[in-house]
Amino acid sequence: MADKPSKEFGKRRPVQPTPRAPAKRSGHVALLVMGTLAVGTTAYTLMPRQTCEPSPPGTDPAVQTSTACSSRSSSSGGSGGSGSSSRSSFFSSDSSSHSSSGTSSDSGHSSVSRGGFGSFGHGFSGGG
Amino acid sequence: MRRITCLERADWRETAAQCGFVFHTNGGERYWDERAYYAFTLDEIERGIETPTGEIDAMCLELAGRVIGDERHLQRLKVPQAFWDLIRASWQRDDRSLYGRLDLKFDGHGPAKLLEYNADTPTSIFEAAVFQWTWLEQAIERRIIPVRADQFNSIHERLIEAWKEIAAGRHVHLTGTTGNEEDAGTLAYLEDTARQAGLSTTLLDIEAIGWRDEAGGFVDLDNSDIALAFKLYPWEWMFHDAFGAKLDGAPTRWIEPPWKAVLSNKGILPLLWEMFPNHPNLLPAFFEDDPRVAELGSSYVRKPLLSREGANVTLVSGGMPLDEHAGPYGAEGFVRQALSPLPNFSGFYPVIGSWLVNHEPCGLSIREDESAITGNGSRFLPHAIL
Repeated sequence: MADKPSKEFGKRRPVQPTPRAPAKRSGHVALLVMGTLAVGTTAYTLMPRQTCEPSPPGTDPAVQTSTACSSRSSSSGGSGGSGSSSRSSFFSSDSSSHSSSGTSSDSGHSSVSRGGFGSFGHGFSGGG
Repeated sequence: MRRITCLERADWRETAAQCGFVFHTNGGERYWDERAYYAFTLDEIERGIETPTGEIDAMCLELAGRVIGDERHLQRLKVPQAFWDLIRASWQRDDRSLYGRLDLKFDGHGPAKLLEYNADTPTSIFEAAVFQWTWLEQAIERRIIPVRADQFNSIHERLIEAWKEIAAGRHVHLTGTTGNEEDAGTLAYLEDTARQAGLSTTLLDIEAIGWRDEAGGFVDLDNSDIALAFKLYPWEWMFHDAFGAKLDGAPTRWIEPPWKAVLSNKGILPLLWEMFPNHPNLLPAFFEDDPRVAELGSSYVRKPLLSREGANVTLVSGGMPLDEHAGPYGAEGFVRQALSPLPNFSGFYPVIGSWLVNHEPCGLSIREDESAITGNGSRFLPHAIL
């Protein structure tokens, strides 16, 4: 059962912005990585995991390149499944109806299972 | 507020390709459409959209606190009890929100009205923050729009600043359904802003997330701990997935945080109306099984508690369905919201997307359609302040 409401509930307010000159518009919009890497289904299917390290202090972001990022191919990327179009309940299933985890690996000392997220999203669009 | 037709840039597709905007066309139909733009006065932006957006956000936070502290409300929203503690803990820790988008009806005359809050996984932020801005700069340069034109748009800078504050130097994993072009583009853009905030990042597909049994925790493909993760994958889906049961015991902190699962539920529309009755920026709304729903009469909009891109929304006027979008949602129940028709600009119906970054109203995006229900195929048009 839920705890009784705390006195803190309902007291939150938006973060107070730091006083500054009103800014209705951007000064400069620059992209660091996008546009230098392919973006889209193919690219991400091949690169489900990409790691980027920050550049050294003082480096101008505008002249940075994507060389600080490393990628590794994997068979896990991309879903794109077209699941059932029937009306589905998000919350009516109990744990027994959850899909089982996919792959497992043993990285020396402990086992890691994968594929436990993402299955319900097949057939839906995630963003809104 | 006006809709002004204009010349499109002859090379906009090349410009889009150069900056990684690959989802500008959807199934052969334009998604990005710059053959017209919406013009606002500064007063319309500031008093008509910016101020109400901040006020609605404050009301939503007030509401979230009440809902999370009252199990009757959580039941009403059909939030599964197994995740109440997860949601409650994230609220009590004050887990931070990066961004959100309010969808508003606004016509330049009456007050903006909240249609819904995309609090959990809003997309279209790349085109709002970057490509729309590029349009403004080039359209001024090419005399397509007046030189004095401006835009309500500081989303990009706000994101970078918000990352600095929220992540505070920690490594960020970004995850979602990367096989979806739009979601992949959104993730790539947010990763870009995180890196510009000086953060190290790892991008991985939601299905690639692993669970390590020993010590218990989510890991990436290197089996490194996922301490802070941005996810473009709705909470209600995570709750349902196999790893959902592990969420409460994992040390991972999520952006958007679990408490956003409350605000992304359309059940907040009747709860807001109950809590702030007759607020000028709200529309009357009731749960469908609430007898007070009769107050709406025979004209209303019927919305599932959980849905995206207008799916399973029905517009009813005089008891007759005027328009309906099919979809897979609705099993959790519906709310009804007073019918407040979108403004009609030469046969096009625009919805205002008002962006919040770190709770600060900071930008605008517009989706328009020939249908009065904004859906997945609705086009994105730029805007300018004249």
